[in-house]
Amino acid sequence: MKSFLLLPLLGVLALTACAGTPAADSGGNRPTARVTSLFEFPEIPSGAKVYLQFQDSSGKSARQEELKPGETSKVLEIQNLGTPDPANLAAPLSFKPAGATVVQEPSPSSAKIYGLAPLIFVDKNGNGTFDNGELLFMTHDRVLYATAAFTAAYSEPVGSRTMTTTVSAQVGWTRLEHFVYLPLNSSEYKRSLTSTGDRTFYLHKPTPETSM
Amino acid sequence: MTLFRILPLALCAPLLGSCWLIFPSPPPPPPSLSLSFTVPEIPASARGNAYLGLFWYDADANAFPVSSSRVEAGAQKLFVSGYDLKNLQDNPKFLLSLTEGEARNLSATNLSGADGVRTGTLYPFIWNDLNGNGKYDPLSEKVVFDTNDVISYANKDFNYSFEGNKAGTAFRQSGKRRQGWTHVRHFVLSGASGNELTWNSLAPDSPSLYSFKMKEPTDFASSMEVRP
Repeated sequence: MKSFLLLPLLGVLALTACAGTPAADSGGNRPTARVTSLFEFPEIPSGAKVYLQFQDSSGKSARQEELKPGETSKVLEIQNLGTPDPANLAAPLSFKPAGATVVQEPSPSSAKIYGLAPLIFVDKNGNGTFDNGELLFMTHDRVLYATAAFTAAYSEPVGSRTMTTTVSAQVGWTRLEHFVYLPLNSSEYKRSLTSTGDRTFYLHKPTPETSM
Repeated sequence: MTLFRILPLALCAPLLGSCWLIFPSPPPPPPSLSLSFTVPEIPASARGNAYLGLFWYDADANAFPVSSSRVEAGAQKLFVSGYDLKNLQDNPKFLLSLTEGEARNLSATNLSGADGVRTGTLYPFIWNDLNGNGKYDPLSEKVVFDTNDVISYANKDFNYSFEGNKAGTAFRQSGKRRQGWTHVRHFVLSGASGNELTWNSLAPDSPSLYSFKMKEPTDFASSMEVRP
């Protein structure tokens, strides 16, 4: 009787062992896990070529993918690019606008970041690069690499109101989620930039930072 | 090694088969919902008295609770039994046309795509339960945090749109809904071209399914809540 009970258990263990065998890594020292991100957007129009671009803070394209007319989503491995070139790493609040005041200094201050802005453009002049007047869809979310988990906050004037942004990033590659709202009867927009496990980016028509 | 893997499997498979014969499975209960919430720091005035609840409204705007629980800041869970959900689906006061329900009091014009549609909506929010009775009294008790995402039941798949106005704020609203219970995400684009609201059922495999990020109450026609 006892062996009857044990045998199915062994079967389960054997299955677990099979599933746990790591796949052979052909990519040298790159991470073995396939980390995919989903990019969703309104239907891509026909006509001039349309591209999904990942732009670094200096405005350079880090990667570009052509999108076909009628497409509404794309799955890409953008968050396992390995460790960015140290020359491209910047201070945690390097992206804050010039008129902003730091409310909470980055902690730890030694953290460094590399961020990419996903955007979709219509290549009207056919030169294959993103130029003024070609922006179709964008998102305020970022593809972010951080050398360490950190928090920080800054505040800035927006018209007659203010906007306070709280940053909370995790180490490694994450989706930095932009979340903003204006509480009822308030003149202070509350914005958070938070690393999330959900790697779904929704690109939409261009909006100001006080909107999604 | 191979023998060790195959042998238990070969013995195991017929045994599992026979178990099914001996213990036929009972009919499955109707599917329930397990909801997760991220709750900000509770203001001092509401600490200890903050309750998270799920409510629906009839055509006369009376609020009915489905589930509620005392909450603190951080990650919170709320469970809704499949039997409660089934009772709601069968309740004609819960399932309303868009004009009687979701688009009521929004001065909706040019409504399209909603023919024969019946929906029922569950709204999550956190209120300051001043009298400590665990019930929401809209006259004396204030909503502390809410989300503009909702949990919806729809009698069929549909795509709809209309133009609306909420307390002087004009907006265009559109959405895609799936039949059955879904997490409907509220997304506002505001800017130079006006306010555009979309309310779409999240995909069944969305990592954010039934996760809600709570925030202070906002004007749902012009300010945001999205993407928990």
